[in-house]
Amino acid sequence: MTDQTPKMDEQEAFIPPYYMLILAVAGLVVALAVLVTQPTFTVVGWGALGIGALALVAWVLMAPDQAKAVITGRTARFGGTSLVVTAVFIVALIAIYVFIRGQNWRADLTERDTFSLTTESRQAIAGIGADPNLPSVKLLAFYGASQAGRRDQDTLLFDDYAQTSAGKIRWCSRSSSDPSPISYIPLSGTRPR
Amino acid sequence: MSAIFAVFKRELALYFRSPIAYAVAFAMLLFLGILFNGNLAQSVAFNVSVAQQGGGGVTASDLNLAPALITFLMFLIGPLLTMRLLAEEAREGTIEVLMTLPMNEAQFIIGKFLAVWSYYTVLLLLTVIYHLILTLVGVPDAGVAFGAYLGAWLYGGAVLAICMIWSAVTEDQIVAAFLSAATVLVLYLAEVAAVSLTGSPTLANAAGFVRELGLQAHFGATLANGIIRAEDIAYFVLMMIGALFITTRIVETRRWRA
Repeated sequence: MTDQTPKMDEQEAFIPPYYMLILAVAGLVVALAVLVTQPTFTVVGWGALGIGALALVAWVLMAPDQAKAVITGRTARFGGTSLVVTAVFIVALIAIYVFIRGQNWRADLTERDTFSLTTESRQAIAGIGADPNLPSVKLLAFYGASQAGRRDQDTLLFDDYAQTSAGKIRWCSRSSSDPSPISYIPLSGTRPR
Repeated sequence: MSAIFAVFKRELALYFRSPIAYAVAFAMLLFLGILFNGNLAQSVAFNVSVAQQGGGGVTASDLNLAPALITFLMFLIGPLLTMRLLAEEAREGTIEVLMTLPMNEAQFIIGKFLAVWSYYTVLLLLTVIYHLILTLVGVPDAGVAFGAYLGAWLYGGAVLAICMIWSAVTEDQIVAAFLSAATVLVLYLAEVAAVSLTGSPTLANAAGFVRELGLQAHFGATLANGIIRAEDIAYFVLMMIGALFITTRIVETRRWRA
């Protein structure tokens, strides 16, 4: 008479090991999202990171052969290299983008110079910049949540103001929902008492 | 270089023999024509009333209508043009044969990308007719038109490169098209998502990042209105390079995948 009872290692696990792997990835993704989107790494981030780490450990314990294959297998060797190279390449592309963005190279192609100063305005503002008796001016531009595109367009004009006035006119943009009081920002060289 | 050109020539010829490519061109031009006609009729009626008060002319919204509509339609055009590119080669097993030819994966992918981008360029150039029509009813701003067309051209390149990733991932053309359309739509709507995030006190920090990631933030307010920013050009070019690099890595996995 043969023994019909399956051995422990042949029994199908109540929770398949790859569920743990999915949980680990989900936890790490949530933690990363919290890191990127929140000002501080909140309890949600720590919780997700903990769950992700525990799920990863659980997967290694539940399927040690799979874990070993992932680390030492052919897929890991080539795939791991490929993944690292891709990640490095993408980071390099992001760095190039951030560098170019920082250079602030812009041009107004419109025939009527819609987003730049007219010759007359340019002369008047250059005069303000050259006069040492005039105080410096700070322009404040307020934009609502849906006006980011408008802000991009106006940036060209405001930068033109700042450049033509040789830095005497400065500007900054703020969200119209920004709760910080306006009196904290120095306007036209005057400060609140 | 000759390997890239060989793939490019073969793929471009396939586009001009493919019924899907003609169907895409027909649908796009029909849709654009109807909308352009309606918009122009409205604009002319408006300009006549303004001219009676001493104003008039062609507005910026008329000028970038065709490029803006094409960029919106890219979530349909992109997947339809690219779904076949790599998925079909993989399904029919011809990709293995191509991999034995004296060229690497990058040359193969770049050749295919240049072919689909060239076909898209032809479609885009066909819409220049609308700009010529506008010159008959007013004095259009050539700078705005140039910016809008340059933007639409780069935008299209970026979208096509992104769609190629999904064509390399799956052997099923329909799945590739759906995944591509979803990805492009998410990138198109990132600006809308950023607006929603700005309203949320906890996620406001992410709004700028999400907006910057989207396609429209680099086209709608700037290039489409004649503002050329280096960051916008860089975004589209780097997006193309990044997407093509990922596609190449995916195709390369065939060499060592079990």
